[in-house]
Amino acid sequence: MSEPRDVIVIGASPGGLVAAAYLALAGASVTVLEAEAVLGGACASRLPLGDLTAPSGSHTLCALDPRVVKDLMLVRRGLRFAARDLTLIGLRTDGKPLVLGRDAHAAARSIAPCSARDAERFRGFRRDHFAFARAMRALWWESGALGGAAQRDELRRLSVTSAAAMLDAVFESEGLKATFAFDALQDGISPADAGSSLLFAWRAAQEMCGLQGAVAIPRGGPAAFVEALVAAAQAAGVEMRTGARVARLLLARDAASGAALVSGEEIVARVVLSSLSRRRTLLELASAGATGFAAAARLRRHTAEVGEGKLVLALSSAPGFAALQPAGRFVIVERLESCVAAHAEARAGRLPGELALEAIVPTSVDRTLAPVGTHLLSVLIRPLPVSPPEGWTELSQLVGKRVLALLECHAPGLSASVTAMNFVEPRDCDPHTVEHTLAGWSDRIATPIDGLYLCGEAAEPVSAISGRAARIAAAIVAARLKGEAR
Amino acid sequence: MRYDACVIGGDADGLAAAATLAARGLKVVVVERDSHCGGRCATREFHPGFRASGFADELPAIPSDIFWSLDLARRGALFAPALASLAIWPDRQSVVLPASRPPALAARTGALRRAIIGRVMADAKEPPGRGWFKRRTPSLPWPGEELAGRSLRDLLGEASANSAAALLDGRACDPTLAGSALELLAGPGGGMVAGGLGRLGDALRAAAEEAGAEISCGLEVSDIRCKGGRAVRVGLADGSEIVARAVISTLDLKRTFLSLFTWSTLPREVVDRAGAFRPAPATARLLLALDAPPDPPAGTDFSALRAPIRVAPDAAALEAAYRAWRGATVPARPPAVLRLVSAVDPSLAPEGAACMTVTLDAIPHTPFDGAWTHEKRDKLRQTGLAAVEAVFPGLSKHVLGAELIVPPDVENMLGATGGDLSGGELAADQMLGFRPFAACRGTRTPVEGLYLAGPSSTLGPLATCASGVAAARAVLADFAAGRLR
Repeated sequence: MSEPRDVIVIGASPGGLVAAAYLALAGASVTVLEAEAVLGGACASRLPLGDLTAPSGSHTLCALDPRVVKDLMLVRRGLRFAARDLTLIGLRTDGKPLVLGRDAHAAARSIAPCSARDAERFRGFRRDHFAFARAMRALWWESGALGGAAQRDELRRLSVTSAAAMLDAVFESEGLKATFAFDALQDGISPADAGSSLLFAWRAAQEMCGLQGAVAIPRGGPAAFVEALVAAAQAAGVEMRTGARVARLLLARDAASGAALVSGEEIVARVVLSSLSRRRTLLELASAGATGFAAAARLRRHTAEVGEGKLVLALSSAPGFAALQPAGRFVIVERLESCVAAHAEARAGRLPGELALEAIVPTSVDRTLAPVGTHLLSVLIRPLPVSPPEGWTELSQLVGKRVLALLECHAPGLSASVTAMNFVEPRDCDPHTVEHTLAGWSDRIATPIDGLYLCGEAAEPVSAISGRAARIAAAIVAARLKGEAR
Repeated sequence: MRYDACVIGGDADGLAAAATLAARGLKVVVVERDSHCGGRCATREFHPGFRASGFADELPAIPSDIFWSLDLARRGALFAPALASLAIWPDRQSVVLPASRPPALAARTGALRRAIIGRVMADAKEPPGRGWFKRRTPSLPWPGEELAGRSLRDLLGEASANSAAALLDGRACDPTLAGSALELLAGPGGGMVAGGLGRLGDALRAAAEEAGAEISCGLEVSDIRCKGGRAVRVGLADGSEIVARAVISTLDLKRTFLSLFTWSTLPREVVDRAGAFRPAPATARLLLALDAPPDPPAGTDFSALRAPIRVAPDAAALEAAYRAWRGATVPARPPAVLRLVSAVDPSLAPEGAACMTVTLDAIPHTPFDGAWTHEKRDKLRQTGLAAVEAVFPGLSKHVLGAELIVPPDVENMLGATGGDLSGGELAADQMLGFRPFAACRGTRTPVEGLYLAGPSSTLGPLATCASGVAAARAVLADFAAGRLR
């Protein structure tokens, strides 16, 4: 048995690394246990793509917490952005694309050909949302309380209103409504779900977050971001072990007291942080008795049914739409109603009749990712069923074909330039609800087991690689360690 | 003519309001467009010798205190007790569903419904503060609000999702959506009335008239005239007008504010809210006159015929129908409820013959390819008959006469916008404290002296007559406090 540690962190995903670095900076002895041979989780894993490789997780960082960048000195450790604040662009088959960037006037101008009324209303809609999102920052960025009575009223109204109802009440252009709905709604929340309108405010809060905006591409890909985090953790004195798969949690008097590895080694610690999903942490690593039988049964019953898949393509030439705006997110979705229907179909385990997708071309802003003359196209498809009855092996071929056909409509000649493609099926993660977004940080971070905390994407209001949950989890754990020491 | 109160619309809610007000000595008039009052509570002859209620066979239950205080039992509104119903799944397996919901669920929804009715009745005593309609959320939490984030499937568990669908009484919805749990609050059927729903209408009319209310049928209201932001006169289509200190509208929200007012006289928030209020799926009805009662479906006995038979009530079918309705398409297999009404009440059909109603839910008011034509009606009639054939093979040969009522017909006959009798979608932002206006207290509206009862009010989808009584109590409270001149 190795010597006792203050904290062990299970999983070296960005969340785990951020939490470890913060705790080590606070003076705790920290060990990170990573099952794989490389650190970084989905950010670091490489997806084969012909001669190239691509990250199997997201290409982008979503609203990275500026305080994490500052506190861990990530810029000094090599973090650079190839593109910040990617512009949301709705591609249309029936007209000019909607360019919905930060410049509200330019966005209104691009909406005007679709609908003059929507262009007029867009500014007011944006202003209201940003004003509310600014008020929500206390709640969403720190573990504070919401300010005034007006904001509490608005929060209550949004938490029962569906995104579809909200958009229908403001806009008339189907393309605009669908593009917004696709952008804001993640984690299998349907635009028709009561409370889904709240995610628009969350999206606005993300857009206001620091310089990098809502979605940014790190130079060198997400792996470079992980390298900066690893450097920060090492500098803080974190012990990082790869190939150390945790078999189960150790418990002492119903509290987490360490972890046992698959190799049989046991590591004792005062607090355990997990960057895995809530389900995996509590169902696979802990026993039902420790979690509580009712809570374990609830976790087992509620599985995520809807997720997002990713198709990565290697191209011999840049797709036509990339010329529109190199740092753009190109959303292809026709109607809001088809978005709602797609969620219903995905929840029933079927492949949606109309796929909705977002395409980014990371190589148009970062030439280091692929050799000259080749381009990467990363396509996010949501919603997709997580476990369709026929299995993903066959279905992924079909999805690939249909996505190519859809892209071909907007970038003629694209299929001919494809040299390789690979599909990442939807992950089985925690099922998300609007309640989860609304819950306080401490509720999302804590678990039923004393001394066990979550610090990964599972603790974020909406799953994203932002580091915010990890920073707040680290603060909670540091306060606990300090209290125990007294 | 001068009245203390004028009730627009002689539906159950309007008659209950009039009876309550008249019983307290007020001079009340009920204005009804049709030649007879009762609204949804109307039973008529649709084929020589065959009678049926045109719009619904059952309404949400009447709260028992209102039922007894209006003395409806003595006046002939006798409810047949609810029976176990039969659900036929698409694979033709049938399941007998208990008459009431599972006890725990029934207790929970029943308690919530009572708490909500109690809240509205208590709110009727006190008006909200000035400018309340500008608020976008209710000030206090409402009972049942915790259901707003839940889905039906989440509430009842995967296994019972199908029976949950049957619990919805054939209403189409997507049981996986957050907020769909609120559908459970909409009242369960109050049971069939002996002699058809028309008897209930007659009983309510008798209650109102005996209390001293004046009921004028055949008068159409054209507008509500305001003076100083207060509703003072009701203009009629024939050019005359009624002067009233209080006006109770039982029309739905859109019709009340968007067609009875000049928009410029209303606060902007009210016009916006009424414009954005979303309708619920509407229903179509097929009334069938049969020359002989059908044999009970295989595996059941004759008692099964006395209860509603639900066709295709599984969660997937309901969701698909709901989806089709949202796309303004007539669903291929709409949720259907068959009722052999003459088995419960033999007076509805001649001796030896039978009378059946088929309720098809999620039928669009205007299909995407244009208004209802004879061909589309014929097709829908075939869809309804196919649902009948699925349960009673060969019954179509016994049909003597049939009448189909599609949503535009309901709109024409009852004045319900979009033919939607539930007065607006039962979504979380249109239910409880948000219905029809946030921060609304006891059926008051932003126009002083105007009260909104009926389907679009908080209690509309929960209970019959309750919103009318709540409006009447609000009027009485405002009279007593001298707020109405």
